[in-house]
Amino acid sequence: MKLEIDNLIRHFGSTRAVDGITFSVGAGEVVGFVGPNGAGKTTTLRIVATLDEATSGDVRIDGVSIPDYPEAGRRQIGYMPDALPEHADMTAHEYVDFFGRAFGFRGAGLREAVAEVEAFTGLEPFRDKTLKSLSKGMKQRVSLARALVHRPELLVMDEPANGLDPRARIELRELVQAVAENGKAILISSHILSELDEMCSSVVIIERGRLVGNGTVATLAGSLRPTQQVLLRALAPAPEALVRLLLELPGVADAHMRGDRCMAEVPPGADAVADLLAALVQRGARVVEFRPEQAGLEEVFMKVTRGETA
Amino acid sequence: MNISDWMNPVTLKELRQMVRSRMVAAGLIGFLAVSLITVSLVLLSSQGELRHGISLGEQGLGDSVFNAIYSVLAILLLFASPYFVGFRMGSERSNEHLDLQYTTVLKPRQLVDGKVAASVILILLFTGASLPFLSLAYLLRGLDVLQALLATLMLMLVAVACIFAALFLAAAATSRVFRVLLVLGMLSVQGMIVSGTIAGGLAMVNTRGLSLSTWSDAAAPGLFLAGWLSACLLLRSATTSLVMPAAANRSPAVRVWITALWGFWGMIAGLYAWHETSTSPIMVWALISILAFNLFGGAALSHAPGYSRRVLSEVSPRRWRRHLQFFFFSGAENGMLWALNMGALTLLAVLVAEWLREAGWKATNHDGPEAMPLAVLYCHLTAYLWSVRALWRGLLNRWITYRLAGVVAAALMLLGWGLPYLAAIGSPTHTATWAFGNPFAGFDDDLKDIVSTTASAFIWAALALAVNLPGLLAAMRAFASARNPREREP
Repeated sequence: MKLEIDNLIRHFGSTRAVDGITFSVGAGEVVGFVGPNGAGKTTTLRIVATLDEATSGDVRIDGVSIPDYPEAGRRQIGYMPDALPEHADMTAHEYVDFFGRAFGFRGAGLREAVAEVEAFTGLEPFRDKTLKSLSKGMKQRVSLARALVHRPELLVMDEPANGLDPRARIELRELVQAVAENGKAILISSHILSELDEMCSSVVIIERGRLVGNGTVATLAGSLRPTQQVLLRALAPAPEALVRLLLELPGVADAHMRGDRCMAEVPPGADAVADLLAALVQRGARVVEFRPEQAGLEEVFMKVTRGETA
Repeated sequence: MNISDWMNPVTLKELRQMVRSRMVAAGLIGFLAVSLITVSLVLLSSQGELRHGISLGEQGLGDSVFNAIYSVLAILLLFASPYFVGFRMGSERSNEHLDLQYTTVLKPRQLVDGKVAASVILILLFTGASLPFLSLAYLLRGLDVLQALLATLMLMLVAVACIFAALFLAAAATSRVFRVLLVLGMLSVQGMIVSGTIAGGLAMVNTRGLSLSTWSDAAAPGLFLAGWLSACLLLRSATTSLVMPAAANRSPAVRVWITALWGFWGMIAGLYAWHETSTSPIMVWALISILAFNLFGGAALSHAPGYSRRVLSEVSPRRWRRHLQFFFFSGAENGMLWALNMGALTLLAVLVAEWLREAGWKATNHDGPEAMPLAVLYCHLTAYLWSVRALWRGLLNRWITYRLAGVVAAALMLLGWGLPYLAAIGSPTHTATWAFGNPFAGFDDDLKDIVSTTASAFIWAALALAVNLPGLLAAMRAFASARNPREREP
């Protein structure tokens, strides 16, 4: 399964909500879709989910154009919006069962599909409770079960962690990882970057409807920073002497103290890091801590975006 | 496979929700309580006569009990049920539940049919709950069972039409202000529907007025059934169109149904005119048709400019089919041209009827509106719609959205209709000061020169169409199959 978004454009009057976005998501990948408020994330996800139509551009799943064949796309896509189910007169089981039927499941096939997603999302103990009586975390599970009941190949999640407590977030993250392990592609938008950082294989960053970053966090960080930082601590020499030693080593662009540790900046890549450690040991340094610093998604996001909205 | 597997998923969902709904339970218990109290009051009110030794059977209290239960049931089915169904639909729209249903493979018509089917079951439930009281009415004598059953059936049919109307209004109301206005408007209309149905049903039972022994007797119920079916099917197609995503090709179902209903009712009007030896039925049909076509033409005026990809993906590559599709597919020019042509065909039918009359057809009286007033109406409405289209394209689009173009046209029409009368306030004759711009001027008995009014309205309409010609041609050129040949089909 491969989702391809090709030069997607969506205008609302003179406002360019989405302005020429291109990226793809493959099977087993979890792609984080991030951007400031009003950047065009929800609009893009709604177009992918066939709820809105692009002004131009295309969305393809395995080569099939979704705008042209929305019915074909719907069977492949599980869409999870940011709104939670709130019905007072419907149980969690009935809600999931309805969507199973809405996708054409009947009889034993339906019961099997519903039981499968209820077991997967841990809904079984709560299946007969009305939706309104469930906690936010449980509603989010119901929403996930609904999105997965027809066994889609692509899961599109819009701000799934909004308003969840830490436990519910961790549980949701584990569920998302389990879905990805089942070979499904996941496109997930969120404002909680630390969550995405841990669960996404790559990220797509948009701002004012335009794509400003696409790739793994490490790749994006690498493209943003010419050097790589290594945090280290040694029993000998003393920290100030260690900084001087580092500055003398070939390939070290800069070195300074950060708290009780030293920070060295070396060229990007594993070779430079390995060379640094070898050189330090060779010169008699008794290294007890040596940690290449990975730039986080938050840092990448802050650098890539300017905080402007469409 | 059990029975639920054969059901429309939406019906099943609605029924499950109704079973849990406190409002439905309260409605049922309330209905039974009110019915019980009402029947008790009717019986108690005849207690004095019972003391004089007249048995219940001889007295014939059945029709009194039936009247009371029928009125309570009518209020419940025609007043409470449509609001219940309408509010449920409205709340699903606002909490994005409907949006989620669009991500499934359910068809929009399945959504509408499912909700209507569940509502019909609700109507049957309430009618079934009234059966013990209706049986009591029968046992008390004085009640014609056939008439009572027919009256109850009529009530149920009107209730189904009200459910369709409620769903349509709930689907149409996208903003809170619009919703409030619709509820207020609906309240006034519902008062008339409820009182009219109660009066009709009770008259049917109390006067034993409905007979089906001859073809003539069957004409009125037949017309009622045809009208009911037409209204339900039209509301169904309009609601289906409204619950579709905005980018979808929403118009064909509605326009095809209206065209079919126009033909059907035109045929009925023609037969009725032949039977009654009067052209009036044809004129009434033509009047309603011209107003309806222009109403839908006005709705098309508020369509988004250009064509969505989903619309173009459904356009046939075959030329003759594409030409036919142009009139029925979503698009401003498409809808307006369809309304223009259908109005012209209606006028042509009226002219043919008039010619037949002049040529010695057996029609004798023709007291309804004739061709000339209808032509004044048609030309004026056409002129307003196409002038506003030209105005919006050339100027107004800088300030107002295309959605408001139809509202502007309606406002101008009202102004054109009312202004001549407003200007005449204080004059001794109280007649309209001028006829130009008033679509209904042809129906004014005081109008002296209808020919010049028709001619001026025709020239205005022709000019408006001429100004729109480049846009119309551009729309026709843009209406081409947009399927990318390189794309893989699913």
